Amino acid sequence: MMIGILALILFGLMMMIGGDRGAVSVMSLAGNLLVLSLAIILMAGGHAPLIITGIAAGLISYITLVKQNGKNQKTEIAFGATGIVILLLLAAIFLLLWDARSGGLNEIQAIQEDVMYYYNTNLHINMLQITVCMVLLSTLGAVLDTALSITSSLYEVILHKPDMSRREIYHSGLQIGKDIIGTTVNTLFFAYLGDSLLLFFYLKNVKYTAEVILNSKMLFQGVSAMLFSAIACLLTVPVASAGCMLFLKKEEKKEEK
Amino acid sequence: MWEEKKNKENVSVRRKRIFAAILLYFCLLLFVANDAWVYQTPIVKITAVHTKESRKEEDVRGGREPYYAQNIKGILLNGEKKGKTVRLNNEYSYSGVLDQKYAKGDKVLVTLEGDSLKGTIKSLKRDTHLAVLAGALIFLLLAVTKEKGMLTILTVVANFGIFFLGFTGFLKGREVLVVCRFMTVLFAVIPLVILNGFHKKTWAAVLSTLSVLALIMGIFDLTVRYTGGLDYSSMEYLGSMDDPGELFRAEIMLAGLGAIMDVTVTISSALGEITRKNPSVSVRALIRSGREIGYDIMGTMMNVLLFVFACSQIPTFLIRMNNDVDFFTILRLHIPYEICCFLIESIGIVLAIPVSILFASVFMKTGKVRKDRRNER
Repeated sequence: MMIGILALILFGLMMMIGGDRGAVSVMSLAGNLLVLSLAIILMAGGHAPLIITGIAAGLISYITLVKQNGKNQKTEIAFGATGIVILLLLAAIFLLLWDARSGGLNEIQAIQEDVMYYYNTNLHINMLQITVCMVLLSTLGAVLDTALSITSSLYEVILHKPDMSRREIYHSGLQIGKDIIGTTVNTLFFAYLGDSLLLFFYLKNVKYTAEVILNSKMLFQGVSAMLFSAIACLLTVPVASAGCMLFLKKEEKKEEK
Repeated sequence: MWEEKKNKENVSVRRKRIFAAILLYFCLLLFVANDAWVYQTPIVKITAVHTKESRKEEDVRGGREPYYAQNIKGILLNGEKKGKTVRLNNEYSYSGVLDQKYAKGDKVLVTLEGDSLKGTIKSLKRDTHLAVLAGALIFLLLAVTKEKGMLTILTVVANFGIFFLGFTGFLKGREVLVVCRFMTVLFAVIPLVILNGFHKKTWAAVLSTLSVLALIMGIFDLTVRYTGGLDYSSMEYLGSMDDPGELFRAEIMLAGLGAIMDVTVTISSALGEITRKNPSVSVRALIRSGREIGYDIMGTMMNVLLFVFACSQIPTFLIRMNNDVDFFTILRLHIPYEICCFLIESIGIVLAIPVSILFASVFMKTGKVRKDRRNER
């Protein structure tokens, strides 16, 4: 009931303030939710989580970039940069999470009453892979945001100043990156802080020592997702700038000929 | 041209700096990997593991789920019995929902049974992994964004400091909401001042952030009043809390703060830049530019929040769906708070666009008028 009303307010505001583009945003948000739900349903059915996540990530990137912002060079380069960054990070994420045994429910989720007493936890699903998928998908949102910001800003810059050298394009990409990274890191920080706030307050009731908390799975799961997202954003800046340097410039030269 | 020359001169200095940073990073890792002597809890390094399949249980989809028993030997790394061999037992399942596998070379925190050399594993030692990640982030921040990276690190450190202050205040028995309001104001002011300095556009961003927060809390209260609100009893982590409603309000206030600040900062600094380049720009033109920028960032910002919120719920879904709880039942009964939180943050992002345009134009324009008058005199 409450959710319905809030959703109505949100969609109404998006249409009112955003106009046509607000409507497009509503559609792509709904599309992403649909893809996520389907992915979760398939994972719960015991299908290979990494493959599902790969397909879901591709679809989500397509919806967010191409459906929301139109098919053009900017979105194509952003799509490519996102793919490269995610693939680069995949191995690192998998290795670190595997070594830190970050799979499964964390200490507090595991002692919830319904999980302890009512549910069968023999899921026959590799929970480590599930955690890798969670980190990958939560990274994806931030990477898409950064990649699109860089490519569309650089596109505008090149439009205004077509005689830039490749080196200049790359450097101005980095410059734009510098301006947006600070606030993106902040956004991620607060999103995870809010998400795990209850957990911190819960610690008041459960007597854990600081040492146990520092090494606990609950802290690691939250912090690793946040740090990986931030690292992914940082990697996106040079990758997307390089993409623009290689491909946006080429187009210019062709037109000259 | 001269800039390139200067760059070349700086290359060797930069290389030295990068080298020093890498060296520092590895020293830090070495320290954290060998910091067992700092710990009060006994820490064991596993030297030998003997694993065998112990039993099979029926899994949720009618198959068999194997369980494995592990006999573990390890050496104590700290405390009075340092250097002695300890025996530990562990059992893990194929899925590893509630348990995990240990391997040779792992370091674990244990509790010893009295004076004996037997014990149970409490947790893996994960501080090294945290240090690897945090170090990599700091290194990349400095490498990609240079001086600005320092500022970003400073804001994150300041944020942690503010949070720590607020949290200790809460532990001392202050009320959650009072602590949170206090923290929110600090969170809004300090990072923005660090990132942008004392500037008109900073104050415009701070004011718009706080007004948007007030607006979304108002919307939240109104909907709670007219719909009866949410039932907090099945909320994750909240089993035994006495004031879940207040905690939830605190969560809403903090979770969206970053995203709202992102929108207000982007819009107010862009509008500030436009008025600086073209001081005679009309208010109408400012509003148009602000709206354009707002549309561009609105959708992707919501996506960032959506993925953060949705992904943390995947395990909840997997366990409950495999125990015959319907997908929509979970949405309705188990995670309405998360959905509600996401919706309110998104409303905040959308509202931040007109509010920050309003404040930014007012600030830029009135400031300019005053300056003009001064010039006339």
